[in-house]
Amino acid sequence: MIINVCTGDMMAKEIFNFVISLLERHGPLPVESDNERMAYRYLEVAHIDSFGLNEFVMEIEDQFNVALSPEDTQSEEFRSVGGLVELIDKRINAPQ
Amino acid sequence: MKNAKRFPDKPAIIFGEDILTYQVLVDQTRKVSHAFSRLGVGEGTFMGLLLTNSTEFVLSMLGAADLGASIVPMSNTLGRKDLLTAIKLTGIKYVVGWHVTIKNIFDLNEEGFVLPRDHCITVGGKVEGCHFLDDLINEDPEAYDLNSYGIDVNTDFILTMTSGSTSEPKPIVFTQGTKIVRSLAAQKLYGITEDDITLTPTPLYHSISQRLVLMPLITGGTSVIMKNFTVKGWFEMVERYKITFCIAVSAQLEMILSELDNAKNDLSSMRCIVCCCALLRGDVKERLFHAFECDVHECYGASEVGIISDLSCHGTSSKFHTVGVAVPGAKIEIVDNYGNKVSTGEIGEITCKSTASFSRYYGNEESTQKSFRRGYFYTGDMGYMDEDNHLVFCSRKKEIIITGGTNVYPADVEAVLNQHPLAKEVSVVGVEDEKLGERVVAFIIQNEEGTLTSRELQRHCINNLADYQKPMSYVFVHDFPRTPLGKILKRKLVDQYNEGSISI
Repeated sequence: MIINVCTGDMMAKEIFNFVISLLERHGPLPVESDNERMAYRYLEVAHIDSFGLNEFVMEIEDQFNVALSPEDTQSEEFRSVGGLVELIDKRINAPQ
Repeated sequence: MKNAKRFPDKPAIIFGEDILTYQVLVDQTRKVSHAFSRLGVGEGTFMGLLLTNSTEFVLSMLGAADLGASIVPMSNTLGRKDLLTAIKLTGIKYVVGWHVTIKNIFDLNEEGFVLPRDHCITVGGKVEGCHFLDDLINEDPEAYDLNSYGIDVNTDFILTMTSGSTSEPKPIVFTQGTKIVRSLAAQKLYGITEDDITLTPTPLYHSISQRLVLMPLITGGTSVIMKNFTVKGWFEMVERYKITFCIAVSAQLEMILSELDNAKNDLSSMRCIVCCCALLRGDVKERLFHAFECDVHECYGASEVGIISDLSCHGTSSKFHTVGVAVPGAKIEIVDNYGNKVSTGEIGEITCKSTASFSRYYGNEESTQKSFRRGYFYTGDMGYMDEDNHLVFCSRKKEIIITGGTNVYPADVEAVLNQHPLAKEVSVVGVEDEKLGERVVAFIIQNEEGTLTSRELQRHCINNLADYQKPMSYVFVHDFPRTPLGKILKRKLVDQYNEGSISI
């Protein structure tokens, strides 16, 4: 499933907005549009660095009441905003 | 100014896609200086900078210098307590900050921040009641010329926030003159000319980064600033801008070295690389010295006195265990506990005299006086001189963790963790880390309730510590190894942790 935050998916949009607000705390995003931001590979450019990663994960977990495993945070999905939004969405909807 | 007349169209600052030529840099600085002046900034005003790497950082630094104001550069992730301490200690009257950071500061302090909103200047976006730097620059009809105030070189310029093992903050004051002397000394040491293109891979709130920006502006070269450091980005920047000179912290150079074989980029423009801020391991030093086909230097120094020794790859590998010889303008003496000079080969405290010394600890005359004896600065580091006058660094006497090239004072972190009601006693140490050199680890003894979790402590630290200060691991223990008098044996704690024999 590819989440499109530009259309009707309210939950995905909420996750997207939260992830963007977390990233903006660390400095300006180099891209403007939602589509570009979804493709933004924030780890590769050290937008979130080793020092900020733990807290970044914690903020997401607290906000959406999910748990991201070490495998999650090392996955390819986690590396882009879009992938992360999908990952969080999956964890929210996973059966308890 | 002089360089803007010599080559107005030459790039002075390159940041991302922004290229500021010398003429544009002068014009923009003039506008920023004028804008600050209109708000009431003048000689002796302190301005906090809470910015990520950006052209705005450089313009604010230069604009403040033009007015004789002092800047206090800080990480934009700085904890609330440290920020308030810095404001209180230095009397910061204005803050220039990333808009999200400024907004968060006001959101977290509903009853009001210690500074009024109209003393905050935002970058990147607007915040209600604050000034927006872009607006201030754009609304400037005709900014005056730079140097209108005839500011003296002995004017305070940059205050670097630091603190000691007792958690008593000691802001280090650098005058404009000190920064110029240091830039000129580095220029001479590394043979920097107007043809050099330097790369700054470290945060601009770091003293070394400010030198990397100011030095080319003095010589007429070009300064390329990275937004954030990544190895891939470093390779790309070197190739794209034909970088000739770079100072990087040892952790960065180790990462660069580990991926050098896979790099497809042309790095042949590089003429000189300098390693600073934390010492390289002997084996890494040897590999680094051989991997780059250019001059490689390792420097040793302290914030207060600048670079005091330099090891050049022109030396023989038999000296790779040293940090080189005293640089011109610096004298090194190794002394015992009573301040007496020890003989060659004998370990003692490293002290030095330098023409590039700091001015003073701000508002702390006693600490300034205590740090010097007979004109020598006491570094708090232990080492010895070999028979060829090469300095060998042995250990740090002061309790400092150097993580990714940035100093963390355990007492600062301990003070925050100790405020948690469920923490009975904490001890913060640096543990060897392949990527960062050292990483911050917190050991905690809980109170009787015993319900404290790592997550709870992480949350507690969010707004109280800067990102680099936050512990990467929390380890709960029943007790610490101690001296008979109850003092925590931190070295032993680290050893036990590394051996996996810690009692949890």
